[in-house]
Amino acid sequence: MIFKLQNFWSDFGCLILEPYDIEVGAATFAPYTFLKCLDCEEWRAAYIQPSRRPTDGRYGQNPNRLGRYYQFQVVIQPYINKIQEIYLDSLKSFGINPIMHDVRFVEDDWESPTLGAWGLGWEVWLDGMEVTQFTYFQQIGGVELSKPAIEITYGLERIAMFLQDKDNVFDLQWNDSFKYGDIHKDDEFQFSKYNFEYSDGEILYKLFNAYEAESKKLLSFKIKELVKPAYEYCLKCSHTFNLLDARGLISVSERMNFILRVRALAEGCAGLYTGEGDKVEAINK
Amino acid sequence: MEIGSGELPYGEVRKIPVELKNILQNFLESEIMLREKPVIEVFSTPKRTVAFIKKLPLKSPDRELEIIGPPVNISYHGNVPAPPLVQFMKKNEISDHKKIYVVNQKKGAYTAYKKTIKGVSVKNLLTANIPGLVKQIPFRKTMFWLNKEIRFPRPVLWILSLFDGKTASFDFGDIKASNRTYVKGRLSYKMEPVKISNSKDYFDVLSSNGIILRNGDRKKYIESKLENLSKKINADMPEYDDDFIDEIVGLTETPYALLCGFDKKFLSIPKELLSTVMRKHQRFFPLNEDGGLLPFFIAVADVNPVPAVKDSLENNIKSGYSKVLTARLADAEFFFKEDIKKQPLHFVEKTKNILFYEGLGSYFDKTARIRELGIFIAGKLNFSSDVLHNFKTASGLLKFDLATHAVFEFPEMQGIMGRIYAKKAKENSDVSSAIEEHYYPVSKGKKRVLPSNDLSSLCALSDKLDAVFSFAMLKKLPTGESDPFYLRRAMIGIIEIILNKKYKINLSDIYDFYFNEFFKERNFDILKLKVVFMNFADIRFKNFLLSSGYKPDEITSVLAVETLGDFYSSFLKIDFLSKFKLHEEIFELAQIFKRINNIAYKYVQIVSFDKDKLTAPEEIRLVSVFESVKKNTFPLLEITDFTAAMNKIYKLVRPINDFFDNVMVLTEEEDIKNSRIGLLNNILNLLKNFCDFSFLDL
Repeated sequence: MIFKLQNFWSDFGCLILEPYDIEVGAATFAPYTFLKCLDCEEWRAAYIQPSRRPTDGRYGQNPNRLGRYYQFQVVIQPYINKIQEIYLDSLKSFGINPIMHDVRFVEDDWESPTLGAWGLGWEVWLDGMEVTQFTYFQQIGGVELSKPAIEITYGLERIAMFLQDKDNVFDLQWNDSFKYGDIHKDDEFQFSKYNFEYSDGEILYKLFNAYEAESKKLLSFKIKELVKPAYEYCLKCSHTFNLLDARGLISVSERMNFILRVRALAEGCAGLYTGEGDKVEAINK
Repeated sequence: MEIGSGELPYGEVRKIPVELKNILQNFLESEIMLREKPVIEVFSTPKRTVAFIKKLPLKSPDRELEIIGPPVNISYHGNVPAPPLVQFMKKNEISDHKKIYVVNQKKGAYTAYKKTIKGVSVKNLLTANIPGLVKQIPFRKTMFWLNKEIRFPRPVLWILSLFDGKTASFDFGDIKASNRTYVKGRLSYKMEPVKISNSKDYFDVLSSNGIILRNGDRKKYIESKLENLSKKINADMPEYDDDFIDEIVGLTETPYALLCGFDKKFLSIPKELLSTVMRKHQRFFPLNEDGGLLPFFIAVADVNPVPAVKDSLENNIKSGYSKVLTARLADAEFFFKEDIKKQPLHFVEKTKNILFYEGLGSYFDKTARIRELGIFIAGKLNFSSDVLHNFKTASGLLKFDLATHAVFEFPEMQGIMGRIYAKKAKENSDVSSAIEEHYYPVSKGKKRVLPSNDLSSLCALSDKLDAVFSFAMLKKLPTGESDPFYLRRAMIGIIEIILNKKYKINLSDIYDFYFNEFFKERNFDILKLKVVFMNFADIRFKNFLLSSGYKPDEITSVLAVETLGDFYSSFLKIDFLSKFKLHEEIFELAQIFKRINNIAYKYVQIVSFDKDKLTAPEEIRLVSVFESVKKNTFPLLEITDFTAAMNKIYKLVRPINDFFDNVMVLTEEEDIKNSRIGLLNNILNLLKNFCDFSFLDL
């Protein structure tokens, strides 16, 4: 399925990239989307991105929930008129013929409070199952895009379960001899164990503060050539925040505060990257 | 005109027909003076926004406009136009100065000219203005895709625009309006262009592709399918509210209803929970037979299959829907089974850790307040010991379900799961129903459903009053549009229950009890807050009465003198006035009220009188009638027998008129004058126990 998607989007003209090598909550966080879309130039890329959601982990016991899963991300800038049909073509490329199914584009506006990003779009339903998030980005890192970007995010496990007619993600055949569970069930268990029971709050707080400090320091030089390292530390903050959250260490009132701290970094990076730093202010969206 | 776009949110699909029609109507009315009103129809589907206008002329009619020139006194040298007028004629291309006439303006006489404004091509007018008119549609959220000036809820993909059978082209950002619409190919998922030559052609093309343009028609179509499919398996016609079906109407342009099934092992989960999962999370219609849930549901897809693929398409969709639902139901089953392993008391204990609101304690604390408050109210309303006994149990169980898995995952199930779990734990049926009904009144379909008995009402009143009082204390009563804690809704609920259940109780007393009992350690002005609260309650009460059809004067005349917040008695009085307002007695009482008020309003401080100073026969008679009326009226007011009370008070009319006709109130002798005024003020106060007649419009 992945090969077919890569072929399809490569034929379409996308650069096929490899996953970004830092823990992220979604493919949007990878600089291939976050920073590149701020350029507002011609940019077409597709990549797989393992995405980590520590709070969604279920020790490998729940048939539908994972603390780490795969997104297939397509990002296209600027807008093209036929994109919905091209997306339907992509489904066909790996064996889902849209005329044989009820494919629906249902309102789902996307917003990331930690990234200061939002857009309008849809979740795509395939016979009632949500398989893709489809977004027209309007803003990233608090910067309004002069050319909106299109983001298409496929939930690979969901689609594979649909294609292989499996009720349990761990039963998916990865190939003829390996199941998804053979590869990832133990990961799910170990990381659930760690994220929920064994992670050390004190250390995580320290890490968060240290990553934040490093990112801030890099930003303070106001040198555009340091924005990528600054952004990587912003990503590390975001992931550490997720770990603290999974451990139940973020109270309701603290929560917003942490989100704003991460967003300040993301917006600082976007501002420095675009040179609009002085204009960038906290978004109210 | 048809604007084709990416799938619009269903909320926008719902509102476009009304909003765009208004915009077009206003535009045509203000820009073209038409002899005959055009017929405007606007349709919408997720992919299409369509405006169809009939009876438009090709050209707007000519019209005349009076334009004012320079003042007459500087316009002429004798009969010949002077330079200011010449200038004016030149500017307006007037060749013959004899067509200039004189009008009298405020500032004096001016020259004037009737200019004919030639009609313009309506087609040009429309193509020039449509982009601006589309921008006026008040969408909830819009986006841009290429051009910042061009916004719509989703990208616009094509525009079809015809006027009198010809393309009426205009640009909307990257899109150029043409004579083409787009529909899905017969064996394709791609939108393919179809040339359209006139409106009939357009409607034919759409309907032959299964597209139902009108929201109302799609709704009817879906409803007819619901009926057919449910009959197929002898199920009852599914129940749903408007919002639910409107959402489905807004999500489809070629609705296709399917009867699907799920594993009947899930029927062991409470049907309320199953139905919620189906409705809220998958937008499926659950099916019942004689009140029992069936392992079937109806779903509405958005497809228009050709016969060749119909069966396999149907099978794919059905199996997909069932599978998605199964995953959801498996979750719900898991939560339900976990929950019933524990007793309600286990969860009651857990509500100690669920914050109601910062500063207002946990839900456990809240139920403790509800219990005390309810016991007080039950006393005031003389509820039976049975009700009181049940209340003591029920009040502790009102919020326990907030700590259960099922309500955590499906918050809209609060109350309902409480009822189900309490019943499983062998609580009696009054107590378990009260857990659900303490959230009432609620709207079900078009009906308002109120708590069914005194116990449920007591729980509902106490819960809502606690919310309003405690948030009022935190200064969180809503002021503007937003009402994040639903306090208006709570207050209206309180009023509905009091009136519906005929509870004669003073909100003022309840307020005093509440703050005497709770939050004593807080530092705030209890009396000042009381005014704020009573005012908040009064406004809701007034609005409620207005929406029930009572007139502002009837409401104000009663509420102006009602200070204790006894809404049930006030309601009866207002209802009485609305029926008797035009009767002779009320009219005459209002007359004497005004007569007294005219004199007494300056002397409100004089409230007593010395009987011995009042010696004229009319005075003696008035005092004695007043004393007997007063004695007899109060008990009648107390039992809200307003007809009898009115008849008693009416006995004052003659003596008062006699008094005014024969006695001079404002005499020189101070103590006699004061006694007369004192008497009048006493009568006025007695009348005010009925209402302030001066507010009545008679």
